[in-house]
Amino acid sequence: MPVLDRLGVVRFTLLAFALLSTTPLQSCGDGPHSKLTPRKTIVIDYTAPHEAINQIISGFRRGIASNADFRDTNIVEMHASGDSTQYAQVISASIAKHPDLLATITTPVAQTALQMKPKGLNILFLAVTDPVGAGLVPSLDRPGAITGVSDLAPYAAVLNLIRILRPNARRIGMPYSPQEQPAVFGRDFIVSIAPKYGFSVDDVPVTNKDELPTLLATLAGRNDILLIGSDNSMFEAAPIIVKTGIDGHIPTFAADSTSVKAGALGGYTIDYELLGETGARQAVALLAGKSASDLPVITMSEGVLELNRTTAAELHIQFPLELLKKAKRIYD
Amino acid sequence: MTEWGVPVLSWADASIYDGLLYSFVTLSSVLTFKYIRFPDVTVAGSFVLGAAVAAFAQVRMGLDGITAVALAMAAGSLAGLTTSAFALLLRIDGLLSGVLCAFMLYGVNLLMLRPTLPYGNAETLLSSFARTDRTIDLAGLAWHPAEIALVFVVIAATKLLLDAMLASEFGLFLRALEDDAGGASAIRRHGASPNFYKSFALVAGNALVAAGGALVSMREGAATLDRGFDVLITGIVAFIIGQQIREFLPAIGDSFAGSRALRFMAGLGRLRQLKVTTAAILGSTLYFALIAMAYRTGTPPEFVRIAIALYVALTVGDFKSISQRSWLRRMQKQASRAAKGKHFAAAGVLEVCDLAYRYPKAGRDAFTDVAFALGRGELARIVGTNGSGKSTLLRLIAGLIDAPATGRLLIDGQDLTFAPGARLTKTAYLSQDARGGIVQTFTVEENLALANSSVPPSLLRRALSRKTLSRLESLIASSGTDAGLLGKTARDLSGGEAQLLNILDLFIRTRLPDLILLDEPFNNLDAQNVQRVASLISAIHARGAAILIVNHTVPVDFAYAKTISLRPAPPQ
Repeated sequence: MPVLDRLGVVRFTLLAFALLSTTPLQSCGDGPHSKLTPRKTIVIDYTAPHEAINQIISGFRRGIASNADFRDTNIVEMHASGDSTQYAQVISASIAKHPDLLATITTPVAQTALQMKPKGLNILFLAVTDPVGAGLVPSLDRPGAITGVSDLAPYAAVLNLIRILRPNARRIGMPYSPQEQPAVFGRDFIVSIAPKYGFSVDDVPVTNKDELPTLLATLAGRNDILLIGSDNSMFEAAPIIVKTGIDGHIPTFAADSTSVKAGALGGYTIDYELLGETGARQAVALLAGKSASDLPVITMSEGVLELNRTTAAELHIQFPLELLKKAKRIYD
Repeated sequence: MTEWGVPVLSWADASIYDGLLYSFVTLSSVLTFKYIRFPDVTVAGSFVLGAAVAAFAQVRMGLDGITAVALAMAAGSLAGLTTSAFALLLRIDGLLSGVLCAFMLYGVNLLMLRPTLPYGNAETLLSSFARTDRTIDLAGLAWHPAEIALVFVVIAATKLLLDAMLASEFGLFLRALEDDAGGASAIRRHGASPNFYKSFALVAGNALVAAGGALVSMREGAATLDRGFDVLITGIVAFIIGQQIREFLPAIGDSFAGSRALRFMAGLGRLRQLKVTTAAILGSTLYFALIAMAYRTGTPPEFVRIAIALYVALTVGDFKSISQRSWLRRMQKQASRAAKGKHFAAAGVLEVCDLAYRYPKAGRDAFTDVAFALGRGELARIVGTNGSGKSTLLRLIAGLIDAPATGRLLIDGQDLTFAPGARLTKTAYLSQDARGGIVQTFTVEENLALANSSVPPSLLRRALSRKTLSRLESLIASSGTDAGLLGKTARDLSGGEAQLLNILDLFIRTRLPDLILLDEPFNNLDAQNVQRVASLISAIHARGAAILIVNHTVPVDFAYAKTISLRPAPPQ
């Protein structure tokens, strides 16, 4: 370390000054509204700007703005520019603004917020895949101190789509990464609901990506369908999964845009703007005085339909007209 | 409470709480980054490891909070041990060792967390006071006085333990490693192993970090996998802020340490490290105070990042020398303007007038009132007792020291008092440290080729053409160097061989400056090599160069034209 000289205090003061002088202190007055109707404040806390997060926020803002009672709610955004050591600081500063509701996006932010929750504060979480597993709520139907919207992929809609396009399919082959929590959670979820749609699931953990081709060939040989869950490693492997399927004359379905774009026949994916709007509905209920424990956690059962026409042609599958009409994105 | 009272208290609550929690990381930096000079990247993994082990112990194994933290520290120690095995046993580069260990820990943490493990209803150390339904819920905000008090007690105890350790004889050995080479050899002289102390610092440091990770996860209510290198950066920045304020602590530290109440604690009165650990804790708290303030005033977080990065650059940067360098340039310009009018009678190659020099921060001058002149081709020696400033004078003339305190330095009739760069090119200097001037990874032959090449070598021309090579070969042959030495790598040379190489390096240069400065050229040499070096020096002298020699070790009789004697300046 170089000589630590007397400039230390000057430098430290400069840093403090630089950090504090950029933005004027936010005014405390609520403007012309304050006397008549008490204007509400919502603070949204998140990790860092990101495509999906931006969509959630814009959907949330739209949802609040379309509500007659709370359209003039002041919505403040705060993020930690991705620094996980500062989540607690962001939340603490947010709470100090005395908002009427604190909305959090992503699991770690929600966990920290719950831990720091003062008695009277409403907290809403958005985009948490597994709120029960993350310790946020005891159950989805009867949440405790806080509630929110899960971003669990619309698997039910995907299974429905499979039923429409492949009426005779029975067995779904599903490779998944055991080291990814959303992947494991998604696998468990699909296994639990598949019988309702008349499917059995042949789920195989992928621990070594080098073994994936062999494993996929086996899966394609004994199943009618391949399925990609919310699984980052499988998103990356989507091209080879799709190709193995086509070689075995069976289609691949997915619950994410990346995989459909890469050649999966079709899938329902999360509409993050809609997720934000759904969250806004929950927020309005909380602002209106409802208790969080009476507002079940919402899972996005409806997703966005995405189809891939190139793959359909290769597999000689004809999309029904109504599906094509419903589809939000079609890849050619 | 007043209108500003609540915001200020809430700011203090947030910054002190996190500041204390993360000072586990800065305290670990005291051991690793400061005292054993090891930038320990393992921290990124062991922080999450601590969180994972603590959460796993409490949630999955049903253990209590204290045992959970103890297990976390044990796991952190193992992580530190792994890194030290990589770095010290397998001799993998320190940074890479840390990265490897952190990479491995990611896998371990994933197994336990996949990828998040909430404490749920488990009673953690920090949740036993208040949970989601706050007992302390004043002015609509959540407060953490009990948690802060607990963490404060834990941190204070940790700090006192560290201080006691650092003040002990064991700590003396560990702190010696702050000077990497000198400390290691001093420890070896005692028959002890420096690596033992390094491993200890790594093990203890990572145990501390893991404890911090465990407590932070308890504050956040869950252990979370993806924290990247955030903790590492936060720790380093907070540590640097602490080191910056350290110099303002003596007043506090001294009065604290000198107080009679504390005198009974062995050795505390002499503790410099009392300041170091205090600074580490204060640094972390100040860092979070700034962050908390920035979020409260609405400063964009992107800007916070930029400001912090610039702050670290400002802090670590050496600004004194920039101001000094620009001052030098100004003086140089003035000197050259002044010199333009009158040209000095260029009789001598070197003229020194009333020279005095004082080392920065030294209480007295290294020497004063030195004046002499050296004619072309003259051979002169400098004599004087130890500490009379002989080497300093040579280094000053050679341009390795920027400028004298007073007096003037003329080379070839030009006033170069404030032009260290020009002095550097107009002289050749052989330092007392035989290894200083050679490229350690080169062979002797490569070193000589480098000395012999006409600078700057261009990419277009082959630096080592056939012609150059043959000239080099004949020069080496004329120097009488045996072929066995040529193939040796410089770092494998003995002290005497290295010294010989330094003289050869001078001898073999294509363009030799008019002034040659030799500081103890006969160091480390045996009788036979003394003769060879003496004849090489004579050969260099015969090429017309003026030579200034400091020679204490071996009585070699050159035909000295004059003797300059230095006396140590009296203490002031």
